[in-house]
Amino acid sequence: MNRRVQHSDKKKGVKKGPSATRNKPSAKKSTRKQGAFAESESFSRSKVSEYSQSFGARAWLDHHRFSCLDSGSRLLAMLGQSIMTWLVIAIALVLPSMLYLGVQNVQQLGEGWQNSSDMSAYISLKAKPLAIEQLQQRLLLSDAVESIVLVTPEQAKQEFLQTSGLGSVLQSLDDNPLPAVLLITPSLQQNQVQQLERLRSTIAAEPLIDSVEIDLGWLARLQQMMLLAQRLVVVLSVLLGGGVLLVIVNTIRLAIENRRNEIVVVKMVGATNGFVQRPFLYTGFWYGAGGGSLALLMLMGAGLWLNEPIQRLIDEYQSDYLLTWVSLNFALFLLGISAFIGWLGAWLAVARHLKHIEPS
Amino acid sequence: MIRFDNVSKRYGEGHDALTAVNFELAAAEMAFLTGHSGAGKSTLLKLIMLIERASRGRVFIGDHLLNQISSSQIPYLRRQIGVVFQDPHLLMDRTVFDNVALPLQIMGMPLRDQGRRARAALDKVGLLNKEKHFPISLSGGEQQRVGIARAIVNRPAILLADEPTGNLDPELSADIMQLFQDLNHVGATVLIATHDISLINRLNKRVLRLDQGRMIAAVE
Repeated sequence: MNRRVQHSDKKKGVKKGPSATRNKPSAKKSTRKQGAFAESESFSRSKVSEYSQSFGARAWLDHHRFSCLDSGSRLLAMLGQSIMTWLVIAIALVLPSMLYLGVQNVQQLGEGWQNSSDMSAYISLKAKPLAIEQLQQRLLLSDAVESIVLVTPEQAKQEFLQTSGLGSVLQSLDDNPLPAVLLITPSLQQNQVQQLERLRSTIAAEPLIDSVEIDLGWLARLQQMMLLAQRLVVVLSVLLGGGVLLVIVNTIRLAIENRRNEIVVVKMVGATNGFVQRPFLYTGFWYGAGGGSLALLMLMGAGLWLNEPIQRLIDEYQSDYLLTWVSLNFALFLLGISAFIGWLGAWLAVARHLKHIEPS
Repeated sequence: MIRFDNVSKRYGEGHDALTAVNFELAAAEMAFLTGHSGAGKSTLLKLIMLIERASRGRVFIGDHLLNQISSSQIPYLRRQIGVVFQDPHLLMDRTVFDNVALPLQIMGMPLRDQGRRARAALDKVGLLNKEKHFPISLSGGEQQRVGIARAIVNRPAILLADEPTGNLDPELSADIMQLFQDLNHVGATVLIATHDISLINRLNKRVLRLDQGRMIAAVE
């Protein structure tokens, strides 16, 4: 409670240079005495902050190493508690990661499907076989077309008889009502809905073509859904990342409370705020990095478990698609971001709580 | 080394802990600070440690006007002042050695030098053989001596003690007073707050007497 008074007192204090004591006779007395306290003469220097530079960067690095190892071993010492925190963090990280990886795969799979999105061009019944052949040759010259398969009316009729179960209806007709069809496979660059649409209208403009059918509707819908899913990944990441941050802030706050006595003592013997907060920042880092590693393990486990059924599902569609799961880049990204969130959470907790713990 | 120039300290609730206190302690001087409980002894020590700041007046430590020292400079000032409390405030999860070496670690002293200094300080208080023990296994007197070793380990210019013999038996008290005198003889400025009159009478040192926040006698 006295803390609050302290700040206002600062302003009230009479400001006058330290020179008033410079010519005190007492200052000389101390130099006369030699022995264990010889170093205490440094007090006669004019700037207090000079003491800080006495041991330099080496000591600073040493304390970083010490804090890093010490905070890590403290977490391992109370393993049960740490594992709980790590699990909470890991689960919160796994959810958006799974969704992200899922979206990533569906998108790549979708691209594969778009490549194989064949068009069916129905040829006018009046067209002569020779004209159809010429049209096929002409269309093949286009860059946008990969290959063309001609299905003659007879082939179409045979296929219809075999698959539709309406064979008797067809056979009762005098003429074959089925037109010849060109099955056009667009070339690999044609994987955008708009480009496919352009190719479709060029072909439809041919006089021999009655109509061109291409199921672009579901591709467009897939793209929309992917956009939605991507946004969902962002929203989930932000929400759950925020959750992880709060968990760490709270955990570090408790750690600070638990070590309140220690903080008071080290501040009493001259620890700077930087010195006091360092172990807590490393604790946050370890919580984040540990949670991230656990999340990676969970993702890999889930990948192994899901791989077989997914692969079988893909095989059903006769695709040679291979599931891409946790890549090295993704793993490094996840670890980096979780360690950063851990550090940030600890920093927030330290900034809010450490300042108020002072000797009294 | 320590100079109070018309220093007052008023706490937020309007309670005056110190009123217009003037005194000066020369370098390498040893003095007692006495008075009833609540007379302001602890507040005076807190002003020197910059745990509290003066409401009015000026406090000098060496060349430094404490009123002008910013919060970020406080740690460097405290490294020059050793403090001993009635309760030694040891860290129970660290060994005696680590407790004593703590100020050196904070200063960033290389490990080898830390060991040398910490053992020298432990030797001085006669606890070198207990360096690997944890404080919990030590007696009250031994814990107090560990606290003193920690206070003197970085050879501070000023040593403050707040009721250092408060809950020790007379024999141990005498030992600890002897230790303070030894430190004083090698150049430390020592200020001991106590209301143990017999202790004060035994040693022929200057006595600063506080009564309800006023310095009523600064006998030489």
